[in-house]
Amino acid sequence: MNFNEIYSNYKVIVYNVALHYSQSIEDAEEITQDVFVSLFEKLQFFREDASLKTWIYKITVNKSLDFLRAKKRQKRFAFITSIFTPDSTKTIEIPTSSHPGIELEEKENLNRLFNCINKLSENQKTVIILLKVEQISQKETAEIMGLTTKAVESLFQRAKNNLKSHLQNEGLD
Amino acid sequence: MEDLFQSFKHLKRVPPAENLDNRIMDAIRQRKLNSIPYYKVAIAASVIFLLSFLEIRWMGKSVNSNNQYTFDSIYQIRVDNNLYNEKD
Repeated sequence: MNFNEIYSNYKVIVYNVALHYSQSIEDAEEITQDVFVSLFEKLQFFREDASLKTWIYKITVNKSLDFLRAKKRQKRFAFITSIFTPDSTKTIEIPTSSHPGIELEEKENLNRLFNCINKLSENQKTVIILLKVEQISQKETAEIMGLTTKAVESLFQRAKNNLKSHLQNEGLD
Repeated sequence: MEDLFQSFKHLKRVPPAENLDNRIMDAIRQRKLNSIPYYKVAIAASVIFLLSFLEIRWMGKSVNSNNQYTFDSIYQIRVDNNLYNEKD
């Protein structure tokens, strides 16, 4: 399969996984671009024995997490510089969640749910996104995350418990 | 909790904007231009190595054919000179 075929077959999946992580159209587009540029560079090293879909998911998850980490660092840095700069009237913009895939009647609930998912650790967030949002099997999730199926199962239980307590705090459960 | 997870079913898969295709292809084209073709560098390096090796061999032989210093003897002179300098 050449790059163009891979791109047309997987661009929607990659974009939507990136959206689940970032809940922002601009960020998801940037992540998608990063994923396909990296995929283009690494395609020659792809081993045929591994599943292409799993491999693409793996790159997407890693790029999304890298992007969010970089964004968090940027925010922290902006906050520190805003303390030391004399022009302290400028406020830091907090982007609002704008997942375009959310249907209107579920908008409020899903936005809150995503806000709570964002509070989870990287691994717990990934396990919820892959298992519950993307509906990927436990075996495939384990492959993507580089864990055993058992580890994914216990990670999901922990993620579920933490999510439950976050939701209770939000008054959603 | 499971009911809440069911609400993810209301999440539609959305296609990316059309201009994203062009952006990605442009980024890849840019990468292609900026990337170093490693195999070309490797070929060039091996050609240079081979040429320099042949030149050394040729130097040794040509000096030999003119009945002048061989490559080994040039090296020997250098060693002798060093010994001579050391004696000084």
